[in-house]
Amino acid sequence: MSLRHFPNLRILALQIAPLVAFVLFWELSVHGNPSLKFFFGSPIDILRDLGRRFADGSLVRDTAVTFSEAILGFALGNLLGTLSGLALWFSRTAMRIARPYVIFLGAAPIFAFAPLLVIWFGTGLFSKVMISTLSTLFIALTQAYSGASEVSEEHIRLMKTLGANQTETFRKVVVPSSLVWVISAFKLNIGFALLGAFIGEFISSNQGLGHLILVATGLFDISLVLSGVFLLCALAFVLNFLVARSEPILRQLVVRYL
Amino acid sequence: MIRLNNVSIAFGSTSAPLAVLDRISLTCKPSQVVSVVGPSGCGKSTMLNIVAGLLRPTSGTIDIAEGARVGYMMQETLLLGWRTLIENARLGLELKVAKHLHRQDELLSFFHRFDLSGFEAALPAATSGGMKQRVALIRTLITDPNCLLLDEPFSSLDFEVKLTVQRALLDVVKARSASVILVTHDLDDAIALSDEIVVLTQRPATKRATIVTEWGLEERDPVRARSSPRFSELFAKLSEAMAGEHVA
Repeated sequence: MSLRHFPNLRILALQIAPLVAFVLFWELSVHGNPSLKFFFGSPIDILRDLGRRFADGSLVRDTAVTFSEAILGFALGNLLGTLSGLALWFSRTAMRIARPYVIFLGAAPIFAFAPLLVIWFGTGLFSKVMISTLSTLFIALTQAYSGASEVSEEHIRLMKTLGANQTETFRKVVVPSSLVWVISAFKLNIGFALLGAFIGEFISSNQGLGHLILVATGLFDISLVLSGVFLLCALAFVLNFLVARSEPILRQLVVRYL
Repeated sequence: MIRLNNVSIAFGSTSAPLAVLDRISLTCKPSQVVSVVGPSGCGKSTMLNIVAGLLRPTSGTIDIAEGARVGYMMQETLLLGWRTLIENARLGLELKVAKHLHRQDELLSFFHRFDLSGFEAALPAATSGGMKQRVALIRTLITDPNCLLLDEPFSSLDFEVKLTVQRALLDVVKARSASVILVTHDLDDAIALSDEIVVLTQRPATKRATIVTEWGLEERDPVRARSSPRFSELFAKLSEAMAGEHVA
């Protein structure tokens, strides 16, 4: 039987094909050419680096450090941002007062504050979590705010006819109908949370993937730099998967328990 | 018991007001169905919004018996897209005003009666307009209201289903001695279901005529009323009134 009978397998094969072609092209181009290898690294070296670092435990440690910084910042930033963005729904006045600030802070390059945060919160885990939190918070806030301000007036009227108070309307209509916005903020924030943790490590750290990449760059070890980048991408991939998985669960929880 | 006393409402600025309702009075006693018919856009829905308390009349008053529970089914079904049909029907029961009611069994029997069995877990997007309308009606009825305001509640239903739904509605009216104000453009429905039909004029709407049906107890049924010889008599009277001739 050919692959044609397994459409998913066929797509998977076609998805992998460009990667294989790229890696082969890369390896063949730098193979036996030390100067090219110096600049671009090689897939085999990357694999070797990853294997070696996995064996001595530093790969797991660095990845775990960056992952925990990013996930803590992600959780904290999204939670605070989403809650405050949604809560603005309760007061039209507060919403209007907050509007310019939300737009301004949403556009602010939070990473510019990163060195400041290291000064304030030290060089440990906490400052990275803070950078990560701040870089996700305003996106979550903007999205939740937009979601809450676009709730259908008709649905709010419906809740009134059913005798709902404001809190009940918030729980039954505002939160669930803003969920699409909130989840899209989660998706956007995966990258920002990782970037926040990474930049924090870049500024000052003694472990984590940012640290690994910084050190490897100093040593002109391109393969090791690319190993770090690869691991960062893998983290983003895992977080994406987790968010995608949580979407229907979150939806159900909101309808059932709110 | 619902009573409107000289209710008027105008929208827009005070310098150039747009009068929509002009001194409408009507009374709907317990166990009574009063239909409101009139040209489209004449302010029938606005009238229900006023009775439901969503709008404040410019002048006139609304009397609703103390302790009455008002159930309002608006013209649009407004089902929440993220809830299944049964979760939508249950929405009112989840609120504090109705938390003490335990209606899970009744909910399922309504679904069965309204020919919605098997669709409890369907999302609104996957269902027809008629199904959504039935769910919206269940959502209104399940919280035990004794004052019902229904805005075109049968507009998307095919005839067979409509009769079933109307019969269920009349049962509810009887069981709870509910007062029902029914807004409809369907004269047959108005005649078959009502004790009284109020005909409104073009905007600004005034009351043009009131027609009393006086159905006997055994005729109080959507099918039997339609087959009664008095039905066509009432129909003629009502169309005359709609056309503009005053009926005493």
